[in-house]
Amino acid sequence: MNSFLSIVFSVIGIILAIVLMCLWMCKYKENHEGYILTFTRDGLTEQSEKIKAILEKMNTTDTNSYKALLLLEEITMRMHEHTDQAITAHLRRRWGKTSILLTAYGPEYNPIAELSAAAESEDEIRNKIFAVNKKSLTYKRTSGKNTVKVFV
Amino acid sequence: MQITESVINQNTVLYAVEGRIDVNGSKMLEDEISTRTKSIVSWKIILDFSKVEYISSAGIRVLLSAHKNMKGKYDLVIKSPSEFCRQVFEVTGADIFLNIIQ
Repeated sequence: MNSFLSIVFSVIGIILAIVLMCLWMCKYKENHEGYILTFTRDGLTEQSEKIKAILEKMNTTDTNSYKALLLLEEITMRMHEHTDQAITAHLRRRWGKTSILLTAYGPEYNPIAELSAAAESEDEIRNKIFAVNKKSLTYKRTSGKNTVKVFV
Repeated sequence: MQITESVINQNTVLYAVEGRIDVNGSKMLEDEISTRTKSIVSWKIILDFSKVEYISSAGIRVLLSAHKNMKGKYDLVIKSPSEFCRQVFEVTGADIFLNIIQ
């Protein structure tokens, strides 16, 4: 009798574990999305429109979307001045938090670092934009790649 | 990006700007401003920004440069910028130099 009960409980336990696993996987899929795009200077307008559409699908507000596009454009422009390699934008959402990873191979270069720049030049304007948004930006150098993470 | 011109009166001309002023749009804006201001006789130029949804550092530079070049000749006014554009003007300090009205 005891062994019969233990088998029943084991089976119930296994079924319960499978159900919980399925529920967790559904929730994980719902909360984890990813898109990869290649950013070029010439295609920046089109790529930005695509990113805006994806962010809209992720329920990002217009102001936050445009802020992300602004940071992407400024980072892309600086990265392009230091590498001929394509810049990859990996847009992802993890547990409700959206971020964009901009990655390019090339010599070590931190595009969000403050540059000495002439007054009213684009670089001076960029410095101000990065300074105000520093909490939304991180830079990392790994395996020959420069990566900037933009938190949306 | 599109620009539509309308003459308000003898002294004032309005350019309604529409779209995004990113690195590509800013070049168009720069060319348009430079071409159009060559032929106008008005002294007040209003750039209607109500339909500009986005502006980047490239666009800000064009506006600051236009403001600098027009100083003493024309009065450049940015009218009704969107919330996002207004934030960019503030963050970059462009609002100190540019004449922005609602």
